[in-house]
Amino acid sequence: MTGIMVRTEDLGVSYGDTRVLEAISLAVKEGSFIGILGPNGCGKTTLLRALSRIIDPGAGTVTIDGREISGYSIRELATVVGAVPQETAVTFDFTVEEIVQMGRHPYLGRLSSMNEEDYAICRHAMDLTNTAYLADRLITEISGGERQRVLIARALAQTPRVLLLDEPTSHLDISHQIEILSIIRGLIPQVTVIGVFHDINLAAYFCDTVILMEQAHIAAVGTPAAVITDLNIRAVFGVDMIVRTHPLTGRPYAVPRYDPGPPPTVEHPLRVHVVCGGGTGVETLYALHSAGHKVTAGALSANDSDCTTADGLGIRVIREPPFAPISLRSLEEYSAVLRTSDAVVVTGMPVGPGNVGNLQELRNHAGLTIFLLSAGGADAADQDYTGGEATSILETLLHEGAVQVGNVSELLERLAALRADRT
Amino acid sequence: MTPVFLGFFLLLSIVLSTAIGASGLSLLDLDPDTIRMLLFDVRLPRVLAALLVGAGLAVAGAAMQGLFKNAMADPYIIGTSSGGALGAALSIVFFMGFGLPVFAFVGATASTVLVYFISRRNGRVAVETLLLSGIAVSMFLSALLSFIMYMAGNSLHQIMFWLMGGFWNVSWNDVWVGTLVLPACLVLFLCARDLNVISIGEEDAVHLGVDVEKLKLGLLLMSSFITGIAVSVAGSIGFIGLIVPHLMRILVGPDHRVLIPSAMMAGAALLMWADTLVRILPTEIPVGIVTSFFGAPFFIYLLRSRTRT
Repeated sequence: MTGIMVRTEDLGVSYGDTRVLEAISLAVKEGSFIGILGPNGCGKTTLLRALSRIIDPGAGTVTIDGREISGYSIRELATVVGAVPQETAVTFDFTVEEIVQMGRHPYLGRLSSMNEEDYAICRHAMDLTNTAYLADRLITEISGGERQRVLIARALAQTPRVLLLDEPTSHLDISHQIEILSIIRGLIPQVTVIGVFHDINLAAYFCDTVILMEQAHIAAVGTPAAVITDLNIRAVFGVDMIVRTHPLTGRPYAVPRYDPGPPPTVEHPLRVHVVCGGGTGVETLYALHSAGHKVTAGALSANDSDCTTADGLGIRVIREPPFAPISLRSLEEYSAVLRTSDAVVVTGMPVGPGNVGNLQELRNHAGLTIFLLSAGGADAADQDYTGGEATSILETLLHEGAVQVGNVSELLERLAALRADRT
Repeated sequence: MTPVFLGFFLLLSIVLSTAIGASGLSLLDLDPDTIRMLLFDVRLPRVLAALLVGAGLAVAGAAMQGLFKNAMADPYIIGTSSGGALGAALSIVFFMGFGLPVFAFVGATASTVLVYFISRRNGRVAVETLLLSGIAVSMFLSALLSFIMYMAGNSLHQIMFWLMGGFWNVSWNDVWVGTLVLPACLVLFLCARDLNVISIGEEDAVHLGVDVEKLKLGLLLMSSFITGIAVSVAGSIGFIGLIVPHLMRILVGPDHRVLIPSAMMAGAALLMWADTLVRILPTEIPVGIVTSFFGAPFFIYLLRSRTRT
């Protein structure tokens, strides 16, 4: 054995004149978890159906465990390849146990019935999928998540070496999605799993290899980190996504940019500077930018998530390299910006020796309109890592006329009023 | 439990319905030869024919409901009854009823085969297409039948009587023909586990190792054979093939390994009693009227109060 469990060579499928798959060549290693991603209609489900012989390919070959798929009888193939459908609408009132036992169908002769070993395999499959407690319930009366687990149990009762999944969790809530994919992940490496996914992030986390499909072709194959990139996703799905590394798993994850388009052009926009950090400025920056104000931010560390947001929105940032204190040059730039600002917003950011300079500088600009945005619920003192200096500066600012605002929408109202006064 | 009970009930029913008759005479008043003649040449063949036809229709109905994943399917769903009726009408109008059972059988099975081939594409038959072509072919054949009936003149009454179905003139020959349903029922019983799997869904069935195209062809052949035999013996008797599998599914569950034998015995007993009722009525009416008359309201009751055991 080469260690390749599933191989396709120049696989092609057409429905009438429409080519649904073209020249698909793949080699899936035994014991791996492969995720297939792609937009609707790209042929990913068709690929799965060709692997399980639901449809006959018009061209090319599929080889499973070193043998061409057409060489298997349908019954024999069912002992090697199991499948979990997207959803199954069962008409008749079978019990869960009866459904799971159908997984033994390919092993039973017409006249034989289940023996001790068959029963043991079914029990094991139900234990693995946490469905044993459902055994006597009717398949028509359990929830979608339970039904999907039962169908996985049925596939496992086939004791397959390859498991095919067609968006097995797309109708389920996030907790059931994770539960079911974790169960499937646990089958590796005894079982080779090939699954079609709708959710990029689930595929990124659970799969070893990701195949990105586009219009009957394979657009990219590789590790999740190599395949799930903003460029690839834009090319295949036509959507701008922000791809980051998950802070706990190190796997990529993607979120849509939801691009708001250019901000509205407002007559007499205010120049607003935002002093923020540690992610406390994200909402404020986005809201001010969307309201049409001319926004600046800083000084910020270049690895601060507020800096990322500002860059994404095209907001000018006074920036320092990661972990560096505020330099004299930045401080001068900051001071210049403050002189031309109509208003300054200070978010409830954490303040330490590295960024306390931002607050100190504010005291040198008398007459500035300053808004202090409360740190959502948290006490300002909790964010003070300067031994009280930051808190005392903020108190002084308040004393000298700075305005405390409770949330971003209140801030926007205040700024609108300010603009109305100016004009 | 239920199948065993059904078995006893069926045996008891055979004895009882043979003993009940329309002669209006007590058996004790007659001489032994007359009794023997009455029991064995008149009543017993009729009882057994009803038994075989009822058993066959119920099993064929169970198979069709499983195949079509639809509890509303019956053995006539793909044009069998209209094909059989057309065959019988042709025989009545053109050959004075000569060879009627053969005409009915050929009509019933030929229409099924026609429907199957209409639905076939690239070696595959989609059940949805099968259902729709069945309806289309039925309507076409019914139109032909209506035309023949309109032109039939004196034979109209005879065609009508046949259409409603009954056992008024069965002989031992019909019983022997009727026994042909038994091996076909056995074949369907041996496909019980495949039926379970395909009743979940065709793609699921392929994943579980069922050669669905072969199975579909086999199920259609067997059930149209059974239905063709039933139609040729007793005309098209309605509701047995629809209600009995439905009722049994409520009682014993959807597992065809239990459902098929249960439906077989229940269908046999039900049609036997319906025919017994017909025999003791003052005027004999077609048994098809009785099964539909009682069957339809009962079916409505089931639909409204469908609760699971």
